[in-house]
Amino acid sequence: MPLPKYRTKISKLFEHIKDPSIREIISKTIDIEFDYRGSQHFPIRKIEDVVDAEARLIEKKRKEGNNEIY
Amino acid sequence: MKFINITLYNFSSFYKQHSIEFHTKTEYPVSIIVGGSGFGKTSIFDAINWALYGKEYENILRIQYQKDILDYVNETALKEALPENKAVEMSSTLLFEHEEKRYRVQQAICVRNNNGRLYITDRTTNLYDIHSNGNWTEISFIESFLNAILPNNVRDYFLFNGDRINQLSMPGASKYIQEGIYHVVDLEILQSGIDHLEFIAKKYRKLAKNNSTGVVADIEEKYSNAREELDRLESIISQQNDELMALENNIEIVEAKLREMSEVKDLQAKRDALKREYDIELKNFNKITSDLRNATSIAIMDIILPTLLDLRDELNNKRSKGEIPSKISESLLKDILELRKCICGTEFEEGDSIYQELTRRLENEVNKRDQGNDLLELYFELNSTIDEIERSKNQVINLELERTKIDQKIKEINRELNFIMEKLKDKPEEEIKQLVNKLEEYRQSHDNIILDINDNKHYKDKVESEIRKLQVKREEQGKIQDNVRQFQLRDDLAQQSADELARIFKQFIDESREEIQSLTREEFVRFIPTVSNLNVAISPEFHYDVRDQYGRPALQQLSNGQRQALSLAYITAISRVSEKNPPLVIDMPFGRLDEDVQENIAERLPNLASQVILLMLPGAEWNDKTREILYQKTADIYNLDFDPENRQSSIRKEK
Repeated sequence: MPLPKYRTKISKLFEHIKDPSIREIISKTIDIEFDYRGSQHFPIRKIEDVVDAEARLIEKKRKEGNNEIY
Repeated sequence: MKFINITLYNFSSFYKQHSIEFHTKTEYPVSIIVGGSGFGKTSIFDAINWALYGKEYENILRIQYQKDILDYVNETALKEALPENKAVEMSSTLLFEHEEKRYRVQQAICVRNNNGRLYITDRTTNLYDIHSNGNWTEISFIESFLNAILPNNVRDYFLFNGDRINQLSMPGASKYIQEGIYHVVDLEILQSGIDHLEFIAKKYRKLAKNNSTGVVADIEEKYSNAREELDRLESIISQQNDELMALENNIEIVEAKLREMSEVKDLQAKRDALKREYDIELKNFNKITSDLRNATSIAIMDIILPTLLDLRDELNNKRSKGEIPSKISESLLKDILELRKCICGTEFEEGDSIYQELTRRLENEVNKRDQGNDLLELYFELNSTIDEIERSKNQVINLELERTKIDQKIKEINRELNFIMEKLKDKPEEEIKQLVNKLEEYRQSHDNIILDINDNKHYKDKVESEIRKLQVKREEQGKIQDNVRQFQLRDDLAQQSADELARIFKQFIDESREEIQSLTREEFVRFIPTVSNLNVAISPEFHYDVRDQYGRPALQQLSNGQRQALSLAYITAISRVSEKNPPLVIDMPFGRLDEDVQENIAERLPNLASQVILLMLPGAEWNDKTREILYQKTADIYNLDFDPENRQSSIRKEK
């Protein structure tokens, strides 16, 4: 089923986010929010995992960068 | 989503089982149920809502209509069960299709009578996915499944009482308007995302603070405090904005009451006119203040004007001598080299010392050309800057004069407004006095809140700038402690994501409001073509702003029917923007409408959704005219009969 126009609009607004990590976190967060809308026990851990995964990626890149320097 | 049928069992005045089939073909989108007052129309409407939303709808019934679900258990069934103290079952079952699949949702309760008091002994809610071969699968997460199709908080915009919706265009309705836009375009999803990301950022900030030592701990402490302060300020500003909105609604309500009172009608009309004038002058005043600020920022350069003039004269001098740009000497050298003859008459050949010296000089001149052009450009820029400063100086003088005039006018209007307020207060009627006092009280609080909000916003800017400085320090010092850096990074990512999402939220809410405003306007004129001279807007504060062709507020002048049409136009706009496309179920769609408006709306109704279910009163709503308009687009017509002796309703299919 195609997404409603306003959801496509929201996704388009996400495309303008310059930082790819922030863009990834936001779009995954919103997907989780849609999946669990109205649910009484919201799995906040899932969003935490998204933030953590992006942080690990940055840390890994930083490490690789440092290794290259040394 | 389309409804296929609804089955009621011992529900309200429907004794035992009764069903209504709904057509799902697009060419006949309308189904009509006609019944007099008390014949069971609203019970069918409630049964649909109860089947879909169960306990949540029971809460709505309790809060909005002071009704309990036990009030719906059929009287005859209860009487029959009483001698043997049997339980009575009541249920509502809705069969619907969604995305080419069929579902059956059912709410059922068993009720017993204990010394005249009813209580529920058993309750079941189930939802089944009905396969094409007749098999079925039970769906466990009923609430989240139905919320994904048609969330309960947008229910009001698709299943509603036509007679009650005019509250959406009454003074003080901005809260409903805002909620509608929030829920329908899923702004609440964005808000929830912001809240969750902020929660995660706070968690990591705490961990960073608790695990840091020395200098890092100092910075973490300061950063954490600044963030908390920012949260506190944001929450205060948000509360103050809510208060402001509530006060504006109250002011609107009191003013509407004064407008309706014959004793003060004229005075209030005069006050309205003055207020409109005041608003226009205030707008002008703010515009001029902003222009004045811009002009002053340029005119202030007057202090360096003598230096600029000296520089311009110097450059002008050089320009008149032909030193800038040095094109004259460049072309002269080129001519000499071409003629092979010096100004003094000495002839030379290519390659000899004079030729070489002149070639070197020509190269120098070409290099100097760019520099000369830059200086020439600077000269022209200086000229225009000097002109701009002179122009701005004059502009400041003129704007100051204009601002003083407007300021005086505003003071005059204020004096007149105060004079009218005093006159209103002098009226002998106690009710008028009370209303005027209330109005003054609200106005005073309104002005105070605006001042407080501005102060808090100013303080918030300061805190935000402090946070930015601390962020830089935090990143520098965080490198010392690796474990702290890990928490800082996660905090930063979550906080930045929350901030970015908040920015998107703001942009999206404005765009959605504007889109809904334009669709509301379009639909309103379609419903009532005679109002095409009215301009309908939804202000950034979510107030309806209806103005006539002269720009005067006209919402209060709308008749009840026009208000209902405006509310219906708003609901239609909401439904079009949401694209959820559920059935539109309207209990009493033409409740307060004039005949001609009824006709226009009846023409539009079949186009508003892919399935439209109308519960109508015979005569006032379902009459020759509406029948003629709707019949071609209608698949099913049901008539409700009521037997007053047994107090039982029955359903008869007409088409």
